[in-house]
Amino acid sequence: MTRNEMTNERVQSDVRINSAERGEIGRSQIESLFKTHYTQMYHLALTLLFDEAESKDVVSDVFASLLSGKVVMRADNAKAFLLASVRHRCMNVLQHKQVQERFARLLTEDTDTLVSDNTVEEQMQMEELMCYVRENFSSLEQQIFRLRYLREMTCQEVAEALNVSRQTVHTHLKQSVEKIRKYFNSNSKAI
Amino acid sequence: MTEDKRIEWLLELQDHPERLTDEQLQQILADDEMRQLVQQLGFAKRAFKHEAFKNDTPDVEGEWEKFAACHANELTNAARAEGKLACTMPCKAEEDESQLVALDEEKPKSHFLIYLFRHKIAASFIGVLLASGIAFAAIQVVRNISTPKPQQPTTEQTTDIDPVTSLPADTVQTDTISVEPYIFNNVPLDSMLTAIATAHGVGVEFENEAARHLRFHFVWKREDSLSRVVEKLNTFETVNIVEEDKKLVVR
Repeated sequence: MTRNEMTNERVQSDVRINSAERGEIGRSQIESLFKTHYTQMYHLALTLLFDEAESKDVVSDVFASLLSGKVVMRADNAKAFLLASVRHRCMNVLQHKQVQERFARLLTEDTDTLVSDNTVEEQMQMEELMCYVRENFSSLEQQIFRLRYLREMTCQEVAEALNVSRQTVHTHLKQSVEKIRKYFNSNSKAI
Repeated sequence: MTEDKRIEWLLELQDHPERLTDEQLQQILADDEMRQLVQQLGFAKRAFKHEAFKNDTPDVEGEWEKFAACHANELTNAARAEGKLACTMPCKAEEDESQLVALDEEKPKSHFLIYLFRHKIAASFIGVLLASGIAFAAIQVVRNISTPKPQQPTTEQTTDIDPVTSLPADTVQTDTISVEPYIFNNVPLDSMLTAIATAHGVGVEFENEAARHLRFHFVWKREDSLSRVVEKLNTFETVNIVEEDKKLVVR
């Protein structure tokens, strides 16, 4: 976060103190919160749900509950509050999915398994992992991982898309999983 | 189970999750190593997704428009509350608390009640202010009419050929009272009509006593003629007002 953004956020939270103190939230405040934090909230939801429509719903619900007055927010930490609300709602959505789906789609449904409740810290760890991926994964391995898990194709579909054999896909995927495993074990990075 | 076998198995199962029931899967995930593996892979998936979307900005303006359209009513209320409260409630010093007070609906009930309570105090405070404001306004209107301002001798404006006093009573009122519309918000018909009638120099009679306590939100455009105002009021289904010589009769 740049210094400018930080100052900007500080100013905005000062403006909001008044309303949060009363537990009342005004239209202009909702609008300013929405426009300031939407992108980050949406991204967080997307990295938990992997579904654009579901993610948009979650973010929208967070603002709706603020507006309804059912939820009271402290203005001094609006961003943290909003992100925590998104995370919380995503967990709820995930917990209502079938175990099968969560397993197959690698959905993180358990709050305890999250690296951290702190989105900034978590994102740093994600970026660290991606550095490792860029250094240690071949481009084919990265591509297969993306198609298999992000696009949620089956191994067969990935094989057809890349015009390689299903066995190749399996082998590369297995290597990727091993490398990810190695990364976490060698760095003793507990999840 | 060796690490190698575990990964093989995981990949196989993920390709065909429908082969297992939820219970069987729960059992498999009860194995710590297996669960950890799934979690690590899940985190890797999130990291890939994060990287892919990091520089992708959603259409925030568009989403706001959608949200605003879906919650138009609440937003209007919020805007109203914002305006009203901003002037009546002074900003208290922020308590020293950097942590979040509440996380969604799961927050402690007591906090919620405290806020609700504060809320209620604020709301009744506003209610009292509003009521006294209306009373004050009504008194002002009555006073304006009962003690008409003495006509200033118009020494400078000697060319004024058409003095206001020569106009019929009705028109005088609309000229002297400011043309800004007056908004009755949830005000009993009783006080509303009295204010309107007084301004037009007529009386009020309630044939239907129950109608006295009907409450309305009504925008009174003071430049409107009395018959126009009555006509507007009559658009409320429960109201039937008739103009009878120098009197408004509610039936």
